[in-house]
Amino acid sequence: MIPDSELENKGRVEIFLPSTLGYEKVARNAAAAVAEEMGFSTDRIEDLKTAVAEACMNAIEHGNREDKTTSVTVLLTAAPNRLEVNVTDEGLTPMPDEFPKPGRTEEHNRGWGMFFITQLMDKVEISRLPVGGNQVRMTIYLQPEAESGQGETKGE
Amino acid sequence: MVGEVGMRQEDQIGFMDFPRDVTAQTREVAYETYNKLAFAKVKVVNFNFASTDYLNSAGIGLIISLVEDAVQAGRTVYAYGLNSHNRKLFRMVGLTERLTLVADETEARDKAKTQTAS
Repeated sequence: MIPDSELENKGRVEIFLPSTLGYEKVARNAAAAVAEEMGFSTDRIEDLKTAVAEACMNAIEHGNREDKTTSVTVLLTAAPNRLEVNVTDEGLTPMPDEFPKPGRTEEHNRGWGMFFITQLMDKVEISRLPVGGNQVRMTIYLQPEAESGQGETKGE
Repeated sequence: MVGEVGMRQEDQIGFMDFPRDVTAQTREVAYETYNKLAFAKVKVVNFNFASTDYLNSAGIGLIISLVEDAVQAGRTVYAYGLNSHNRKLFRMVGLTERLTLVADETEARDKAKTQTAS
């Protein structure tokens, strides 16, 4: 495992994804590799992989409307007790104030992505950046029990 | 590239073998397979996820739609081959209220045979 001191200096990974569905798996795999180095459990790494993939898919599909001239930026920052993941798009579609409630009908069953993100991560903040673009900031703690009550979604 | 959804039929029992990636792109091929099994009037549909590594929210949405269609048509659905994380996702979205998770194909086949014999 990488020592804490080394993580503080070297624990930042930045990835630029094209706005094409399927590339979210690149960020998913990178996040898993970083989390594994940090010592996260297998179960938590699986939670992280799902949340990162879903945030990137939202950015590609909605934030960037799959426009090939745009990209999605994923920043992974490792701290001694947590991993932070920022997913930023170019905001061609602003993030809604409220997300549609997912359901069983075909019309509603595409809303599960944000549900998974908020349920699986310890802390989630969603914002519209002043310079344009949407950002989903997710935090997962090495010891989730110590951070209970962190799981909330905030608007702008 | 979209992975194929394999189809097998044993009397009134249908099997759908899902590919490595189950995403929005899987919807068309999955429904093509399901509709063939429905046309063949199977009573039970077994979803095999043994080859599936990546199941995203759109893929989960697809499974929800398939299960709803199957249940409304009076069919029973069993699922197997899911890793523990994907089993958790199925529970989170309520899929386990509409289908039955089983350990493997042997258990799915045994349960399906009991179901179709009754």
